[in-house]
Amino acid sequence: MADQGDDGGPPKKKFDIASWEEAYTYNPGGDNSHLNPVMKTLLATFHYTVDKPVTAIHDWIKAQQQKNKYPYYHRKFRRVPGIEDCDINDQVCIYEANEQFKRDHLVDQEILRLARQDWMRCCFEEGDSHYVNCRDLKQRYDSAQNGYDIKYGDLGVYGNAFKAFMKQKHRMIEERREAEKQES
Amino acid sequence: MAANFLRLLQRGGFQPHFSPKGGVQNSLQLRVSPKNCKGQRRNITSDPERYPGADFNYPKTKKFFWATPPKYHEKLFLRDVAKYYALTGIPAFLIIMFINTFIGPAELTEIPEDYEPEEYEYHDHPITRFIVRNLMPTYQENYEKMLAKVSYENEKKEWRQKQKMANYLMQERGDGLHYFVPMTSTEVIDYSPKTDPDQ
Repeated sequence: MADQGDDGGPPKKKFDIASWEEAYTYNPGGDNSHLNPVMKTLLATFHYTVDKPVTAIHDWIKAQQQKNKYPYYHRKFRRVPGIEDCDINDQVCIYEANEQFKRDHLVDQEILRLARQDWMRCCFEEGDSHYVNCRDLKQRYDSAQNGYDIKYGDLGVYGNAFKAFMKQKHRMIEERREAEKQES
Repeated sequence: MAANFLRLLQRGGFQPHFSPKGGVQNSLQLRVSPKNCKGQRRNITSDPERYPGADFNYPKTKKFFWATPPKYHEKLFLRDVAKYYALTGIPAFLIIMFINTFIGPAELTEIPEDYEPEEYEYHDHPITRFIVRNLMPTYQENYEKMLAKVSYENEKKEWRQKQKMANYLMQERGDGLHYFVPMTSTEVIDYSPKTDPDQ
């Protein structure tokens, strides 16, 4: 009732975007103060007998190496005409196109591996909510894997540029036939 | 050690030594085997009339001599093995350790513009750099050698194809120097064994 005074109402929850970080703060942690004394002593013994000497030696070695630094570079290859620009009797062109195909195959494997790693890291960090939060990365990885399978799938260990080229040709013929079927 | 094993194989195993295994009791037992007794075991200390002097009054702390084959040659062999492995292993280990700590591997950097790095500048470890700089041909050199081989064989293949085509066409059309297999003429062959009937 109004004569009994205003008790202030229900508690005002700070639940807006501006104060989100204040409402949900995590203690920094990093020290093992939440453990029992036995575990603390074990971890401390490991730290002082193994961790400290090893890090000291590691830092000393790194300091010795920092005194004389020198560079090394990543090899860059020029693009040569692919298998589609090669005459059937020109084995030199075919050899170079094959080498380029092998290099591109390795690069594509690494690209796929990186995409997969990103998605897997996202899944690990998100936990049970990875279906929602890792959707973009999964889509990226799926499209990359699909492209890889279209180009390199089922070629086998003895796959070369010529076989990939013929695979593309057969795929295009099949697409054309399906299009003609659907038209008629 | 290997020689001892060979001796083992040649002799067909070690013969049983007289080694008193099992302790005090078995050491004083005797396998008696005259015709009547058939190898029964008999404790000779319980019959001093029959076996005088056999008693248990000897120091029980006696050390037994186990007769075994000698391990002297094995030890010599293993010492030689360790010597020869250490002769190169320890210097190599020390050299590699000092190189890794004091020189260390290289760091990856972008290729600056208008600069073509040497072949050894594409590797990071100092030992691989040394080998590539002094002992190995360059990637481009190897690549071009391979291309040269491929072109040489391709040329040979093309010439062979042309030669075969030319021979085929000459034989078919009959207008070139066509090649033939020489045959003897029928006037010279003796057909009489074919014409005579069997007898």
